[in-house]
Amino acid sequence: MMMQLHSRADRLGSLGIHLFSEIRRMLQMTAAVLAVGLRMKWLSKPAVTHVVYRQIYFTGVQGLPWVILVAFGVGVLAVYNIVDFARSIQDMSLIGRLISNLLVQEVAPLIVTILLLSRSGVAMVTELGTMHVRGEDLILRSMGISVQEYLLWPRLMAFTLCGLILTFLFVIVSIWLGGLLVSLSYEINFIDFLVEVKRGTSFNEVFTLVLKGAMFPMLSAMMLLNRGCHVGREPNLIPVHATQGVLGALMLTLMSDAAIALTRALA
Amino acid sequence: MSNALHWHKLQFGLTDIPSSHVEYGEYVRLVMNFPCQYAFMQHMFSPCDVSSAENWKMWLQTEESGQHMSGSRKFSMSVGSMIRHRGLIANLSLRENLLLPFLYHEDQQRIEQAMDELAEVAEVIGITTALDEKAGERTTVTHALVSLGRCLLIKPSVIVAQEVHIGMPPEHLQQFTEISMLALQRLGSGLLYLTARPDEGSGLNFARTLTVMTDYPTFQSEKGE
Repeated sequence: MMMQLHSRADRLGSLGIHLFSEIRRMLQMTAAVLAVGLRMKWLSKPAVTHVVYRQIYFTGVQGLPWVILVAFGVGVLAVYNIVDFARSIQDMSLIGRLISNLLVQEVAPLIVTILLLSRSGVAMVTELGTMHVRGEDLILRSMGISVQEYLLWPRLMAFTLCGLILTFLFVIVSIWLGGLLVSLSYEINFIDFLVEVKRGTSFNEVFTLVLKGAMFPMLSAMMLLNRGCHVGREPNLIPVHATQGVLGALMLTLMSDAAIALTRALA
Repeated sequence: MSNALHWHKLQFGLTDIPSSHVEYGEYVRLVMNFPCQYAFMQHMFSPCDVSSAENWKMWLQTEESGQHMSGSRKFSMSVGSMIRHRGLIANLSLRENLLLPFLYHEDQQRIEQAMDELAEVAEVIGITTALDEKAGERTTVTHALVSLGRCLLIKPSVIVAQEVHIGMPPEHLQQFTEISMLALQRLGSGLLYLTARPDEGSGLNFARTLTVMTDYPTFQSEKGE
């Protein structure tokens, strides 16, 4: 009985230590990447700006059609159900508040992050992992090129920036297209719908959207970069780290969402 | 020019890599097993302040501008490297691979100068037609040739080569040996050759050979082959 208890305590302790060291490693890496990136010296280095453009193109531009498609589907469904609910209780003023609370503050940042993770997240871990397996980090260092500045910062920046922009686009597309389509089939005027949305949205909601729109992709990128950089020299481990990276990023996003909700509830 | 690459004694467990130096134009061979070579390179290419071995230093002593510590921009642009099967970044073209250190470290004028010299260098190493191809997966000889091309563009004081002649088919080895001999003659740089075997197949005439034996004292022979 005591042995079993000790064994469980041992496992729990090991898990805690492992988790703590992972978080510490991730934070150290992120601090190093941010320190290099925010110094802004990369702006004068064509080698780095080229990687930044490529990452923005891959994450933002190529991901745009998917975001628009999903925003359209989610927008139609969300607006239809919200308008239907508001009509059923005969309180159209709820439309703006519900759209603001559900679509703008919760659904949009979360769905965009999930889309980015499923599309670019896996690619990020796989690419970094493959570079490590091939020893390309050593080649870069042999040329005096900072891995943080050349490899990690462009990815972190592109993921965060594109995440924020795509979240805004998601909100605009889902509200406009959703509202337009629902107004065609329902007894609600499109202009009235927009007025209700505007009435239900305050500065706080926009601030939360900006916060989550930037924070979720950034936390995800931190987790993905951390996994990608620790693949080691084993090619077999790349898919394992990619899965762990995406799932870890998703968990981190959900936990930070919960933390924001808790902070707001307590404030 | 009396530039020289110096390093302090480096200890890995029970193995010591002795402190030594490579003068401009001098060829030195450092014989040690692969883990030691790899660890030596890891230390060498890390900035001195973040090197895991405390107080370990490698620096380039130059006549014009004094000491350049490892990891600094000046050091990277004055010490070339050729690592076995580690010469290419796969998602860049061969042209970008050759110009990468310039695109990262240098100003527009120096980048343009390197671009002008690129065609000639590509011809020397025989990759003119493939310059705009994506690197992707390439043979060991292509990795070695691109590393050599980069050295030809940088014109370093010292080149550090790690078993670049190992693992090539005989026809590639002969082709690479001829090209590298020609390039080294043209550059006049010093060479530090890291290898596990004294018969590494480079055909170079080394002035000194340092042999690092695991768990045993280090031997040094003043004369090479």
